[in-house]
Amino acid sequence: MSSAETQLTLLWLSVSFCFLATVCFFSALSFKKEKLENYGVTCSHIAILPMAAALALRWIETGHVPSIGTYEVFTIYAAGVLLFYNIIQYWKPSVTIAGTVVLPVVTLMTGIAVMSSTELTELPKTYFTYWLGIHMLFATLALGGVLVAAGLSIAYLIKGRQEARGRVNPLLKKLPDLDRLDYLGHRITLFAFLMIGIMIASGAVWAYKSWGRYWGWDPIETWSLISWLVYGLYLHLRLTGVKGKLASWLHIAVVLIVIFSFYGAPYLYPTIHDRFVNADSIYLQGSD
Amino acid sequence: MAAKRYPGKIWALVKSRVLAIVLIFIISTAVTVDAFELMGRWVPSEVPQTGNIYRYWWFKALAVVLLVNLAACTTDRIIRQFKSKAGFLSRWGSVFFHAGLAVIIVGTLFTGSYRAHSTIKLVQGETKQIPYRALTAQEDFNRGSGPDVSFTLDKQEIKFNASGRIGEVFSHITITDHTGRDRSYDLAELEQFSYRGLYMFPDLYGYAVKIGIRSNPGETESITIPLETTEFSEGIRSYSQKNLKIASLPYNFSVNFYPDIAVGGDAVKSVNRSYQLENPGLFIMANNDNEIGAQQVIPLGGAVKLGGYTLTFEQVKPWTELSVVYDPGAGLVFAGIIMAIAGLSITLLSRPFPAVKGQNLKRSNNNE
Repeated sequence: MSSAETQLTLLWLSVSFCFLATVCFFSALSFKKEKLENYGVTCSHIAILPMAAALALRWIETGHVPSIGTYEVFTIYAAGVLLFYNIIQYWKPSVTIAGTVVLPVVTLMTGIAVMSSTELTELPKTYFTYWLGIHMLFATLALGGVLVAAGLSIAYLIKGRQEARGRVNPLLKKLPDLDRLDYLGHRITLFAFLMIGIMIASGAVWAYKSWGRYWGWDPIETWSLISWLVYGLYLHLRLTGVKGKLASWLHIAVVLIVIFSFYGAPYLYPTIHDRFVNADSIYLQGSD
Repeated sequence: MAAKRYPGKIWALVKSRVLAIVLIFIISTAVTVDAFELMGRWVPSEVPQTGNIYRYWWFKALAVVLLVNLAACTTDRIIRQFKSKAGFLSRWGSVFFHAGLAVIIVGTLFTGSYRAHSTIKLVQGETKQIPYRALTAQEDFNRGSGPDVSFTLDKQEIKFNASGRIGEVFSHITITDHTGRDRSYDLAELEQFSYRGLYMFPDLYGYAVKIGIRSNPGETESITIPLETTEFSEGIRSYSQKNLKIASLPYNFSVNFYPDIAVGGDAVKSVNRSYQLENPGLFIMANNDNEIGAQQVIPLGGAVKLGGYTLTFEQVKPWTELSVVYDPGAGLVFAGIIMAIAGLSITLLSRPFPAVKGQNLKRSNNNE
C-alpha cells in the first residue's frame, strides 16, 4: 500500500468517526440524552488519531508542512480545528456543546480532503521555510477558535430563546448561565483575534523574507485583514456595551466573513496563495 | 469658559472608542469594497497594482486619523493606569496592544513614503557600479548621482540533488564602495543580508550568453545578453530573450538557450528541465521587416551567417539577480507587531476581561 493510499485509508477512518460524533451531538440535543454527547466527545477524541497519522505521513512524504493544494490544506485545517476543540473541551468541559458546530465542519473538511487529488508537485523555494509551519499553525488555531466561539454563540442564542419560552433542553440547561456563556465566547473570540493577528504577522514576515515586502495587498492578505478588522470592530462594540443576543448575532456575521476569507476568497482570485487551493497553479513573484 | 471646554471635548472625541469604531468600520468597508472590485482584474504577478484604495489620499488620511486615535487612547490609558490604584494587568496589555498598532501604522506610512525596490542582474565575472542613492530613491528622477557601490558576482555554484534537479544555488558576491573595503557574501537563494540600510537577497538566477558579431570588413564586437528565466511547475524553465535589438545590426533577434540539447536539427522546444551545462545550444531567430533572416540552433562555439555578418555563440555564463529593498518602515512594523502580539497575549492571559470588567470593577471598588 502506497503512502497516499495509507493516508486516504486513515482519513476515511477519521471521517467515519467525525460523522459518528456529529450524529451523536445532534442526537444528544434532539433526544436530550447526555450520554450521546459523551459518545460524541469520545468519537472526536478517536478521530484525531488517524487524522494526525495521515498528516504525519504526508509531512514525511513531502518534506514540508502539509499546506499545498486542497487535500493538504483541508486535512491540516480539519486536524487543527479538531485538536483545538479536543483540548479546549478537555480544559473547559462547558464548551462541549460547541462540538455540534465544530464536528460537522470538520467532517465536511476531511470529506473534501479525501475526495481531492493527493498528487505531489514541486514547490518554489519560498515554501521551504519554517515560517510556512508557523503561518499554518496559527491559521488552524484561528479557525478552531472561530468555530468554537461560533458554536458558543449559537448555543447562547438557542438557550436564550428556550429560556424566554420557559422550556430549556436539559443539555442546554447544563451549560453555564447565559452571562457566563457570553463571557466564555468572548474569551475564545479574543483568542481567535490574537491567532488571526499572529497568522497575518507571520505571513508578513515570511513575505518580507521571500519577496522583500511585508504587505502586497494580495486578495487573500486583504481578506485576512478584513477578518481581523471586523473582529476588532466586534470587540470594540462589545466594549461599548453590546452584549448578549445582539453580540451573538454580530459574532455569527463576523464568523461568516472569516470563513469566506479562509475558504471562499482563495477560489475567487488568482493570488500568490493559489497553491493553498490548487497545487498545479503557480505564481512566482519576480519571475516572468 | 467655553474656550476652555473645547480642548477637553476634542480630546474626549479623539481618544474615544466611538471614533475607533467609526474608523475601523469605514476602513474595513472600504477595503472590502476594494477587494470585491479587484475580483475580476487582479494579476498576482503585478504587485502592487494601480487602483488599490491604499494609494488614495483619503485612505492615507483615514490611517493618520486612526493613528491619532490610537496615540490618544494609549496616552489616556497610560495616564489612567498610573493614577489608578488597582492597576489591572490586562489594561497594560491593552496599552501595549494599541501602542503596537500605532507603531505599525507609523511603519506602514514610512514604507509607503520611502520604500524602494530594485533588482540587480549580475553576470558571473562582471561588475556593476550603481549610485547608492539610486538604490534608496523611489522614483527615477530622484536617482541622481552619488558615491557608487560596485557589485560583482565572483562565482555562482549549483548543487544538484539526487534526481538531477537544482538543490541549491550559491552566489559569491563582493560589494565595494567608496570606503574601499570589500565585503564578500556567500549566499544561498533567498538568503538575506544587510548593507548600509539595504536589505538584499538573491532571488533569481539564469544564464547569459556571449555572442560575437563579425562584419564582412572584419570588425568584431561581443555582447553579453542575460536571458530571462521563466519558471514553470515541475522544474521546467526556459531561458530566452525576445525582440532584442543590437545597435550594429539591422535585425530584431529572439534567442532561446538550452543548457542541454542535441544540436543537429531545428529547435522546436521552448522549455527544458536541465540546468546543467551538458550540450549547450542557442536558438537564434533574426528578422528584418517581417522577413526571417536566420532561424537556427547553434552549439557552443558554432556560428550562424546573417546577411553580411557572422554571429558566433562564444560563451555562456550564469547570472544571479539580487533583490535590493530599502524600507525604513519595515523595522517599525515588525517592532509594532511584537508589541501588539505581546499586549494582546497579556490581555488574554490576565484578568479581568472586558466582558466582565464592569463586575470586577465593582468588586474592586467594594474591596477598597
